[in-house]
Amino acid sequence: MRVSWNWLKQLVDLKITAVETAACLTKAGLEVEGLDRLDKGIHKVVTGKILEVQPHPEAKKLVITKVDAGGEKPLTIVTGAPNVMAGQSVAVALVGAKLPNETHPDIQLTTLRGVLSEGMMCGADELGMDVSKLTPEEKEGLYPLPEDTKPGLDIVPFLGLDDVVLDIGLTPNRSDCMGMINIAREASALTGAPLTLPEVPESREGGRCAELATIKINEPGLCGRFGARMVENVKVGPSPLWLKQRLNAMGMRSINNLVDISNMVMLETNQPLHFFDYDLLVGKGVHVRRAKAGETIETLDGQVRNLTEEMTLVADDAGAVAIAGVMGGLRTEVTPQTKRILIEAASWDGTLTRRTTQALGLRSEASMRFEKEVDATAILWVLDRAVQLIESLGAGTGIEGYLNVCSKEEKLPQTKVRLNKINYVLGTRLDHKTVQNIWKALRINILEDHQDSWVLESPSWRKDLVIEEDYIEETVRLFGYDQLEATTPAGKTTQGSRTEQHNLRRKLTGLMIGMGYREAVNYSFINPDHLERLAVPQDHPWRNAVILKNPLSEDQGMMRTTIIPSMTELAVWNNNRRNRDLQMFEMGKVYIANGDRTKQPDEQWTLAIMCTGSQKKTWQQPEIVYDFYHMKGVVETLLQQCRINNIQFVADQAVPGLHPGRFARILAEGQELGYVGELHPQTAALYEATQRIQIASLNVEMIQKAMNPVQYRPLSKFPEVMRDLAIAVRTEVPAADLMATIRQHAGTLLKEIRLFDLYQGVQLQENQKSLAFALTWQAEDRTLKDEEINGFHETIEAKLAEVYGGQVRGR
Amino acid sequence: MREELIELKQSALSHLDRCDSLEALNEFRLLYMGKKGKLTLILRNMGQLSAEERPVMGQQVNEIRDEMESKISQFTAALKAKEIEKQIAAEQIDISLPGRQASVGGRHPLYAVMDEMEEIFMGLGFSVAEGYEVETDYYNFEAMNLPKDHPARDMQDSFYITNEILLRTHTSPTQTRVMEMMHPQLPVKVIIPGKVYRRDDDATHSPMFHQVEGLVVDKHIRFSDLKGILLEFVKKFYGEDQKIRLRPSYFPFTEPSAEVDICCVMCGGKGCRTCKGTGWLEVLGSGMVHPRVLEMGGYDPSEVTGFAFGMGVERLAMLKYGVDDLRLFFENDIRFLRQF
Ligand SMILES: [Zn+2]
Repeated sequence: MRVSWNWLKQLVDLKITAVETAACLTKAGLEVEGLDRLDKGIHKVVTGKILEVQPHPEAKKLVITKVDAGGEKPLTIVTGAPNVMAGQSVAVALVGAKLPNETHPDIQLTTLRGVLSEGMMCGADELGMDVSKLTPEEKEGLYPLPEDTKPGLDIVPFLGLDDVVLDIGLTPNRSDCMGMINIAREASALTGAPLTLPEVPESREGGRCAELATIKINEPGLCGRFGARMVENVKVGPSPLWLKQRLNAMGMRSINNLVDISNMVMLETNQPLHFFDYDLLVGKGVHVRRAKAGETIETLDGQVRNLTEEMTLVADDAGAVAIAGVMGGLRTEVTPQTKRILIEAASWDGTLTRRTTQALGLRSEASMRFEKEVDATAILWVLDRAVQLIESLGAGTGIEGYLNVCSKEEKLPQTKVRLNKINYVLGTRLDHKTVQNIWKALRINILEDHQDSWVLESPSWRKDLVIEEDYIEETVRLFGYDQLEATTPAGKTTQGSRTEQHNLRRKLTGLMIGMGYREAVNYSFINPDHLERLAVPQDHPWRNAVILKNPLSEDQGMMRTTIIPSMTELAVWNNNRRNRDLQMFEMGKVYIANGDRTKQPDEQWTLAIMCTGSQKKTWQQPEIVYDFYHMKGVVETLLQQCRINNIQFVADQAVPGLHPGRFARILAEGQELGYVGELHPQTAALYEATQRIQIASLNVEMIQKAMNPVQYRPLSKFPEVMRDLAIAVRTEVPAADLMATIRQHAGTLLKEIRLFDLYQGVQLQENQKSLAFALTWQAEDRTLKDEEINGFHETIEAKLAEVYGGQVRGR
Repeated sequence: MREELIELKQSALSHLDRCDSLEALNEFRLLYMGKKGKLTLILRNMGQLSAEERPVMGQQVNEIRDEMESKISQFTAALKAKEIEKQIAAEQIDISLPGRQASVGGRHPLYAVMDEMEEIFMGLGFSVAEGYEVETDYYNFEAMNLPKDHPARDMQDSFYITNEILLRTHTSPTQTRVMEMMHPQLPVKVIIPGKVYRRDDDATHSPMFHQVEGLVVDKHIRFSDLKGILLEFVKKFYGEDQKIRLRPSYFPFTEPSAEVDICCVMCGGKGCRTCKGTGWLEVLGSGMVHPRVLEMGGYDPSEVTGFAFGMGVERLAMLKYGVDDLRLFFENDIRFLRQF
């Protein structure tokens, strides 16, 4: 909300500066976000009258003018402006003048093609005006001043540029402050300065107005109150300068005297008005009704609007003449031919107005005010105020009397407010008198005054004062938030903690960081076409996606059901920026829709891991390629750190998007914890990946379930026995199967089995590979005997030979 | 025999002087003091001596042996020291070569900031609670005193899934869920960190961002307590000298409500571009929990009061690290992430 400082001072007799007032309002919750000085530093610019215009002998595009700028002698000014005429009043920048536009240095004596020019005549932009708010005549060429302007006046006050605009960010509860009078009331309450509101002559109900027109509200819920007055001898014309300036300062453009008055009254009172051309109304009156299905109206902006039964209309006997509270119709628009007008001031229902603006995508200054509801009790005063202004500007004559239809009782809320509750909630020690003074300052009606409580009635314009807490806020707002002490809650002390799962996520995150991985944060939503890139089968759970009804773009069309797209894009995005070697992870969620889509989905915390590229060779370490085994090792480490035993990596059912020969599902005790694998070459091509990408996904809740507690065992005092075992088998035999067989036959005292070599090559037959294991046994109660271990060893060899046709090597 | 002994001593000592390695010393020991060593033989032959001579000679032999032993150990120590010196000389390396660095990753700056916030509030006795990101209209809006058709819940602000389910627009719905879970226990004292979503995507808005919400409900919680707790937090987060300013504001779920500004961290309050010349930066919204919200959480507003606050993690992180572009947080450029 833009607030003209000059206008505000007319409504309340402030003795402090604009800056001080701004600080005061901000402190009370009307946050002044900016102060805009309209003069923008203009200096030594005055009004002037062009006395004569002569062609420039040396230049076709220039003219030589004599200008009376209030000095003893007329000034000679050379100009190239197109619309220069003798008799015109203009703004003249004298020698030494400062203009706000940075492209204009200070004005100096200059010689233009041999003629000395003693100043410059100004256009609107040179005066720093917002040209978007001006008419074409005003913004092109020299800015025209009224013809009878006295020369030599300082242009700053003359154009109303000696004003400051306070830009106030209004919170939704203070829509009353979209009216200047209510801001003045607020300023008065905060500073004690007296209000100086306009005196308005009151009219009476009925009169000639009632003879000419009728008003009817067909359905009570649509409109609280509908008031109207009429004006005859209407003369549509331009507004006086002061009104134009006032509207410009408030951020509106001048249209004509009637439109400007309606806007000014709205800005002053927060009550929007609508003017109908009375003689164009069919049936000499209006009524309020719902629109019929299929009904249309051509609005003032020339657009045909399709209406629904949800929308409220003002109509005459021929059909709609306005969409209530939103915009008027073109058919009854006020034009230069208009003789008589009917002025509508109504209190439209906020919710209905809101729905209508949403449905039509049409929001206006008026609808913004009705959505938050206006002060219906002020309507008759507002109508009289509008007629007063019309008469004072010579734009018409008021017709005696007013119309007034009220469809619901206007009862202001009454609230019991307790002094001890105020002090209890705020932590203050305010006394009765201090608080009572706050009620008075805010013009709150004190219905009952008890020693320790009041019954209060809210001012009619304050729709936000309903419950006791609202009044508590008013108290502290005027008392000053900065006056509050900073205290500590008195109750019993508590111990802060996190949930177990939260702690587990932090542990996993810490482990990932320790292993060299950087945390990323990806959007939770992805483009649904990622599922196609991953070739996710139609019946796959990843198809159970939460779909956004109103995404900003398809790229954010669904909540992700898998982390593969996020991690792939993360890799590709970085690779394209020459960040080739990546180890990254994300702790985030996937969202799996329930069968019943009216319910919330399952939100599954997931540890997503990605690596690509390599750790480059150093002077003493070979390159470590971030391949499948690199990623698998990370997963194994994580699971070991979580004390999850019997982990199996199986490649039975495919994971969409992963390489069918380089992926594994991760199982613990038969429960699936996640998967690990290389991106499918087909998928990689669709993402235009230039490197192989490894991805792992672990379900945090499943990890939590599979975790084992710490189990301390005393350290064995007896020595370990170690044996190596190398065996050649067919290449397709999985290492995990061999290890399982070894474990099965190595007895319960086998402590560790470590694959230390894998060989394929000339020393072996084709289709053969050799695996070398280091086995370690240890007992807790005795020294193991060689014979015992030999026994195990022999059994293992025999079994490996039997099951896999394995040949023991190197014995 | 005495002469024999003196001669032996002489030759032994001169032999010993010639020993220049541990091996030579070992040979020497064998030669004189081994099982068949010269000194050993003399001792063995002592039986031939008279009873008077025997102890005298014995003593002399022992003295010579002790002397040789001590010489040997002296020589050994010297030789060992020499060998270590040799070893050291041979083992000199170029310590200027780069070391074998462990690769360590790092926390995302947003989560580093959230961690810090959690730690501070846990220190103040708050527990960390979490909620759903895909929420019901009831918890996201209605339980927050935002009934249907409330102006503050415009369609364009929220991502809807169905008419009744949406992506939470703030962490506040978890307030009600926590109260429902805790009721009737007191105090309720939690912070709620998490992702939230709004339909805004430009230079200063991300459709997904992070909030940390706080909620305290107990008998006799005062507005001044809110000020105290937030001041405590701000001092721990931004430094002991940091000041705060509370301004009246409006949120449907608090009454009274307050916007909290901190003294501008860029200019120290003098006024700059970041603070638009005001010297203050808005960092969080807060207020006393609206009685309707308490009621919907199951608590009786005539028995208990509470306060709540919420802050944007991105904004705090930008101010803390001087990051000037919000989008960097979600681009995940490794060169950006490596700086934290
Ligand atoms: Zn600053």
